[in-house]
Amino acid sequence: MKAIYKKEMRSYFCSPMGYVFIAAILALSGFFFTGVNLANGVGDMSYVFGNLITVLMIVIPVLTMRLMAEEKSAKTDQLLLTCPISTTAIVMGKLLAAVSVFMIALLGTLVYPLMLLKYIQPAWGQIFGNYIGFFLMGSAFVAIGLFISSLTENQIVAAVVTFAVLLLLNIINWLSSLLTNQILLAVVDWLSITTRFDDFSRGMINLESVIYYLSYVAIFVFLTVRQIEKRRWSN
Amino acid sequence: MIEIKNLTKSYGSKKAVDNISFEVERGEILGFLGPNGAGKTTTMNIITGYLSSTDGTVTVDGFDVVEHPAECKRRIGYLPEQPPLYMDMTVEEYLNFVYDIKGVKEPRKKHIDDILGMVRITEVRGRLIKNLSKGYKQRVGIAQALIGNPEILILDEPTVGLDPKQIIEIRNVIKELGRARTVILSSHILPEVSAICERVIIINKGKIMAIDTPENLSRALSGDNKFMIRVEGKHYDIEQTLKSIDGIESMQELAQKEEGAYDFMIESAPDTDIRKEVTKALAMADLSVLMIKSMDLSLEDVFIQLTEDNAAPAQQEELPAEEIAAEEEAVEETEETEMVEQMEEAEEGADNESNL
Repeated sequence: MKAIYKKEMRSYFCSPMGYVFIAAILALSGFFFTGVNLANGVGDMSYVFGNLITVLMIVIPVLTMRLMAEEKSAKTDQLLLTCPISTTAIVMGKLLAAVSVFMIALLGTLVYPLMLLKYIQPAWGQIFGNYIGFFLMGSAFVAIGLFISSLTENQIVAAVVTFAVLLLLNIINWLSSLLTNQILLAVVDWLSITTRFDDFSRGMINLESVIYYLSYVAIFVFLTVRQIEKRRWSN
Repeated sequence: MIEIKNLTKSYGSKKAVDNISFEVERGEILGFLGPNGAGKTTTMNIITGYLSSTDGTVTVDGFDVVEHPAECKRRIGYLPEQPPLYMDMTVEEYLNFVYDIKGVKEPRKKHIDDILGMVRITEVRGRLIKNLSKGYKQRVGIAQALIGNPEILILDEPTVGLDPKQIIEIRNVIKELGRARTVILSSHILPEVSAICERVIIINKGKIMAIDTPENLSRALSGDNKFMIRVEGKHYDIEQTLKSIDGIESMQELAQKEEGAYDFMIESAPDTDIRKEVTKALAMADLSVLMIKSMDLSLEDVFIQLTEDNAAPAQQEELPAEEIAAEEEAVEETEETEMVEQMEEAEEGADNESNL
């Protein structure tokens, strides 16, 4: 797993990919931060993160599209899958690498709340909650992207489908008003990936939401492993 | 070392591998021969654990591939048809990565240096893989398979697409490696297999057509009882003399290829050798023998016979003379085209070299 992680990190930072991803997040969050917090003297960064979700839906698919698809199209998966390491280790190594790049970008944005210190009292509770929630939600996005990347050999297809899925999961709660069936409502509520983030952005970190995001990650890691194993058995 | 029992892999209704069984002994170099699409790659992919079988078992050193994948994979070094290279890594970075994912215990630097030397890529160790010529890429692929010192090497068409010089070099590397290891090698080039391998499996449409040494395979399908002879002299005299010899079961005149000389195909009863009698008789009649050629089938002919239609293994077909002649020509033709291809490849290779 460590070898895969190292390889993926190397691949992100030996190509423009990692830098472009981080730059996009830093630039746009800086824009939101200036427009909302600095211009109006607001100490709560929830608006920044609220807007950043949309950015994340576009940049995460680019980050994850190559993870499995590239291995398959270059046939390097033959090397990985005939080495004495488990498929789970391969998938986890890749997931952690993409999550790390995302985390680096997120850590970069920490300069904004520090800048706030100079002018006003930052709303530390909310800011802390936003960071935790945003990190957890982003990790779930990455897991979804990783799974979709394992479905195809084409990176563009992987990126587009991932974007579509993330967008759908973001707006799926619009259905809630149309549904009356309790079970369906529960399903929609569970799928709605951004709903739980609202708690975090109000500065509430409840265990249930943390577990919710972690289980999202776990489920998609599991599905990715199954998908890779399944290809071996296909007839 | 490797035991394959009733292995079957189906894709839908098509059987890529159809109930094949064989064993590979420790230290053996086994050739896997067949036309494209015969099931060679599928079989290799199953042995290495990349694909699963529909039916049947593969055991490596006593371990079942499905139940103990890690134990099996640790013992096998695999070079797939397309070498699994990361183009944006240098040779050294790549081999270090393979070292890591294989979880090798040996001292890293020495191990990698040894392998670089073994496949002779030390001089390109710092170069990006995407900038290497095809021959070097192939060698990096072999180097990758050697990491961790596996007892078994499985090489899928290791010489495809290389120029003649590179082919010879890679063959020598494989022979060298085969001294201390078990090697399975697939190819559709016959001279390659007969040059390197101790035993050959001929496979076609997912079925094993024959398993034997290259020599035995050629011998099984021919013998000394059938030969071609070219005699100088009057046609009538030759024919009469030949007819007078006892032991000739059939005699067929072939197309004339040299002026004043005639070619005949002569066959005697199985396990008899009448070449001596024939030449003696012709000499007595003052006819000179210009050429005598026993119709030993080359591995090439064996291969064509076995993979054509559904010819049963080790069963010789009675071919009329025209067909033999036609077949000979066909063989010559393929040799010619092969040479042309190799020359073209050589040119490409030269281009690549100049790109270095």
